Amino acid sequence: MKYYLGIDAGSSYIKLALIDMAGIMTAKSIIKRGADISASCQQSYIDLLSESKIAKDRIAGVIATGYGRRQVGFSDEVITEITALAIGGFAVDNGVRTIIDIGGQDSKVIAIDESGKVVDFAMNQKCSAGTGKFLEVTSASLGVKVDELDALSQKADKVLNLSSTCTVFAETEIISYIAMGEKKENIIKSLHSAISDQVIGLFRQAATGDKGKILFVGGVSLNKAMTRELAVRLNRELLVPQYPQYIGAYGAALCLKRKNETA
Amino acid sequence: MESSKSILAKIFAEYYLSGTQAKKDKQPVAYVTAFTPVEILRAMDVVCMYPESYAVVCSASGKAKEMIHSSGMGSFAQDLCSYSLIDFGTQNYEKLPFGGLPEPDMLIAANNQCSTTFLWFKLLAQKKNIPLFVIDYPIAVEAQTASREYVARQYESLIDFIKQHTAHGLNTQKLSEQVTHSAKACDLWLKVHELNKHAHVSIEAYKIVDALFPMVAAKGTKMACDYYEALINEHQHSNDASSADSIRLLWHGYPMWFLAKKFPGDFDEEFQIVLDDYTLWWNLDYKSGKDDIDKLITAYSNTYLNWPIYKKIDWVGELVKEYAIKGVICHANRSCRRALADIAPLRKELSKSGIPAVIIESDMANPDFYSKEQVNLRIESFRDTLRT
Repeated sequence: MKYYLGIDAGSSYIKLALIDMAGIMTAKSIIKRGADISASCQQSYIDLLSESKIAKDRIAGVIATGYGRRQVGFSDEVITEITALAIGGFAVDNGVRTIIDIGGQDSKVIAIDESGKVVDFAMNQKCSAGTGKFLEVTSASLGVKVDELDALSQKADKVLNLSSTCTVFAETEIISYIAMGEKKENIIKSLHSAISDQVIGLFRQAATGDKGKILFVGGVSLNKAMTRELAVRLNRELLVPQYPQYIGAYGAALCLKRKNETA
Repeated sequence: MESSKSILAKIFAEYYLSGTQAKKDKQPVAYVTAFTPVEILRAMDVVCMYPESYAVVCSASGKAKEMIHSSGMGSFAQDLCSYSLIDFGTQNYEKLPFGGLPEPDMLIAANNQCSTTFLWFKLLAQKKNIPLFVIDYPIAVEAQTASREYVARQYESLIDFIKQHTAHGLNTQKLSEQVTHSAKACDLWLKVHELNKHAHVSIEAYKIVDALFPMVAAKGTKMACDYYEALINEHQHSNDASSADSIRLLWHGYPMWFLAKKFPGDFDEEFQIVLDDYTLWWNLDYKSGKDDIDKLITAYSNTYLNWPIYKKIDWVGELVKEYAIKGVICHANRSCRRALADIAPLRKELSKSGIPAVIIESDMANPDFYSKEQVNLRIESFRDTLRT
């Protein structure tokens, strides 16, 4: 049996997905990105093979995607995460027409057609508003862990006005709200609302109307409060796959497999 | 025929030396904004210098960052137009490219391109204690009679203003020559762009960007016409055979001058930017009008940045058809609010007509607002979209 490895060298985490010749993800791993992306990927690759007891000579090819894709010196190919996410998302469910990805330092909305082809995309601009980093920084200023966000958000009784365009401004506003004695739960609910504002802006730019399913991927999709907030604001159901952080790496591996099969 | 390169070198030299010479000869020097009717000033023997164009030179020579940081950032917002910040920076900066611009005796600003330039010039006027004249252009909509009369009255006042400060009168013969040359230069400038209307690309789009300087700083001169004639002559029979199958792209908006002679992103034979519509913003109509002044009113009232959004969108849509464009890269230049406001509706309209467009956020002159990786990712992803 041969395998293909997809590496998503993202801005916060490095994700690896190993697929077999049937296109099934058989192993995966995730590590926090180190300063040396290539070395982090290399170590993660070795660990993955060791844990899954697969010899290196059974790897038919390695492909990299994500911000650090060009730093993965041992990859055979590179593709952009837009293409990787489209392939991965469509493979998860071919009824998907829109993919929302909220990662560590960027967010994207990708529109795909009935064949899985990317027809449009929109990405957040240069600042980190509307990303996982926004949530991480702002929740840290409340002394709240990311995995507590969902429960706390559900206890909110109002939404406050928070900057949706700047992480730094939002953090300052949070400190002001804390000083005014505002409930932590309300601030947390408002953070999710602020991120939604950004993502909905991207959705309006890129999404193809009401057609098809919406897939929500990326690390932030693990936060149920965010999924709920987006679903309410879009008035649509959001599909979150089993391993939402790996869709880029998985899509990249599928891309390489298809390329090699048609070559 | 003299080469375009040689003529361009002469135009550069003449422009920068004219300022120095003017100070020696006690000839009046005016700082002007990019779409000032300089034909009038030159017909009154005023030497015109363009701080915006100089900011481009500073940015392309890699000095923008230092200059912006020495511009007195404490008193100016960082997100102010980068041309103005560079200009303020030149006041405190040594080793200026070409020795810097000569000190102006007067300032002429127009708001047919943006609303920052006249505030920038107002600050300069206060700092240097010199007179400022501002020309106010109504937004160029179709019914223009009242607007034209309004601009005509201001042109009369401009002539009076220059007379008052220089004692020079308007030489109508010189004015006529200037207008004729400006009209001819525009015809030739359009032809330069049209070299790329064919399947084979005859001249790289960035070479056209590089050829813009005479349209800005030497308009109204025969030398500018000679330059564009030479450029057309050199490229009209050349074509890049590899470009025939390329996916043709339009760059919408300002170049990023600090990247020095190139657009961002890696473009191979598969993709080619065949046109930057920014360079066509200088293709003005100097022929419609009952006399020379009236022709100038037509030209300078109808600048791209003075058009309403619907007209800009229609114009870009026409370019897309004429140049067989398959995708558009829109530069959201944070320095230029008038251009920035068009980007989202333009993208939407292009999308409706089946032309994909991607927005990249940066700046025309300030490299602090350029993130290479983010821009490259957007362009690369856009190429994937077009390819598949």
